[in-house]
Amino acid sequence: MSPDGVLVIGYGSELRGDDAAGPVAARRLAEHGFRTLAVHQLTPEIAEAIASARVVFFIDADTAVPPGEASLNRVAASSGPPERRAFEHHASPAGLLNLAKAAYGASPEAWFVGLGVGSFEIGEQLSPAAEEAIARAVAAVSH
Amino acid sequence: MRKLTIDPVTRIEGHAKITIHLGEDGNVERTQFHVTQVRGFEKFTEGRPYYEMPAITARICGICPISHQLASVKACDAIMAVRIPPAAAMLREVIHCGQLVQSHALSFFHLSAPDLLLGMDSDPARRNVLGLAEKHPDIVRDGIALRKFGQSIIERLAGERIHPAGIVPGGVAAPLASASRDVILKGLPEARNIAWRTLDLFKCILDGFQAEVASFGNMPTMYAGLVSNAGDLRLYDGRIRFKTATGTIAAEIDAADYAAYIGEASLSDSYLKAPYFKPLGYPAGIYRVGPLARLNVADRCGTPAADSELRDFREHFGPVVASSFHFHYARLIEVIYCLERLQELLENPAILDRHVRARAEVNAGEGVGVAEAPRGILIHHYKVDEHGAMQWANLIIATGHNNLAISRSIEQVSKYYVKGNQLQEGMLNRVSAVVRAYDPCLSCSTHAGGILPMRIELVGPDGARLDEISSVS
Repeated sequence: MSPDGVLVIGYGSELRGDDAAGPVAARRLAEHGFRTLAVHQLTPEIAEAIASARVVFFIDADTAVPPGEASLNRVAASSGPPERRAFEHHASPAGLLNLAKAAYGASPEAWFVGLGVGSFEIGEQLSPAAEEAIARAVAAVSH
Repeated sequence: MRKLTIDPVTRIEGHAKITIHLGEDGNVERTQFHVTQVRGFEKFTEGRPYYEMPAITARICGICPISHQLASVKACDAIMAVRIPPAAAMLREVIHCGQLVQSHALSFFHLSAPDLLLGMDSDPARRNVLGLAEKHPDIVRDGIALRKFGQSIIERLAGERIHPAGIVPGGVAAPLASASRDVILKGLPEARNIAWRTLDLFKCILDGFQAEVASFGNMPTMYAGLVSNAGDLRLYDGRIRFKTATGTIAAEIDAADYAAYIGEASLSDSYLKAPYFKPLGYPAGIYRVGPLARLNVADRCGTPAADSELRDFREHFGPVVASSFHFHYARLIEVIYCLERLQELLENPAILDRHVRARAEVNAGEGVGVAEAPRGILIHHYKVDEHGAMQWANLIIATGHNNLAISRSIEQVSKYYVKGNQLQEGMLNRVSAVVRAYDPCLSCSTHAGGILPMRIELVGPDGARLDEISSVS
């Protein structure tokens, strides 16, 4: 995919092992020319960046995905009631899309990239499974 | 006796529970505010090198890490017995102003504006920033832009917006580039426009909250905050001034002498201690800190627009403003102050000086660092051995100072609004809203984390659940 108009948001704690997979994937995609955000968690102000994008990829470690794999699923702003937990100090991809739509009138195409990882123990090292998942995600987004 | 539990309180940082005890007649008899988690940074930092403390203690909080870093490096400065270069002090204050702007914007726009602009009794499913965006998208855009402006200052000067490494013992890690200064200055006019718009809006809606003004912690207490030698508002550095409920200065002390004036009572039902003004004892020595307290203790702000607003504030509500509902108002005045202060600091050519760090070994066995966090006075006190290894630490966090006041405010609001056997969500939302007015950071105050939805239970005398209101499906 051409990086034009694409925003990649990788999120997770970089002190909790493979939870850093999202931010690491975002930084690697920055090397491919993508506009990226590598953040600890999703916060409401990210809605502004989303509003100016054509396509958005949210990338996060996902325990529902087999280790080493990467899943790709469409995310949409929901038309139902807002998430109950939304928008205190953090938010979800769908919540941010809702906010971008309500505050800025923008509805970019959005995808969630789930990274199958191995460990969330305290540390700054990625497991081989996380490295593999990141490589798959980078390939999926950039090709 | 019946018991209501609000567990946890939402739209605050950290985890708290409120218990409301009802009498047989359905009226509130008493309330309790519990902070239910603890991490204990004071203990597990023992043995670490003192110069690691700024990075370690910044991890206490993702909202105000800058405040912890500033208090921590000031304690480290004292251990090194250095006077930091003037440009470093200015840069620390610039970062601190950025921190206050982003934190106050978060508190006002994201956490409290849903109550203020959608209504305390509005649909709880939509009483959040998304519901706000659906009705007032311009206000949400303003909130996002103002917070982003504050965060961009931190990111530009300190390296990262959440846990930056640019603030170090002895000063700051790097001098300010003129290009960075110019970028921040360029963003100031729009930030000021947002601040003015928001304050004007708040003044317009204030008449609709007369009952809340009357009942949200509207009580006589002392106040504490940092001031300059001339009595001006200070956020980065200053002396601690204690004022009585009637506006008399009770004490004005060097920050390093805090322990002679601030005691900490341990409570059996909360991990959050209850600081008090020692000369009056516990609990008579109740005092408040934070934006409202700062404006109450200072003679003036020291910048023209903020001073004009402070005069207006005092003309309307008196020289000492008692209602904690006005924390919101004070927070907005402080945003204007910070933006003016940023301009003053950044337009001073001395801020570009290349000498920004003093270096020294351990020269004192003890150091105290104090700064005004967005929520109030933050104290870091360290003792080290001759090699600089931490032997002891004491952290008194802004929300801790307000513990007694928050508890009393909850009781006042509960007695005013909570009636009868059938709960209405709006009445309990006001109990949560008075806590939010203080913008507490409970993760900081006990060093705990986590935000969970709210659950409120009405329990009868026999322990049976009579009613429940929950924010989770």
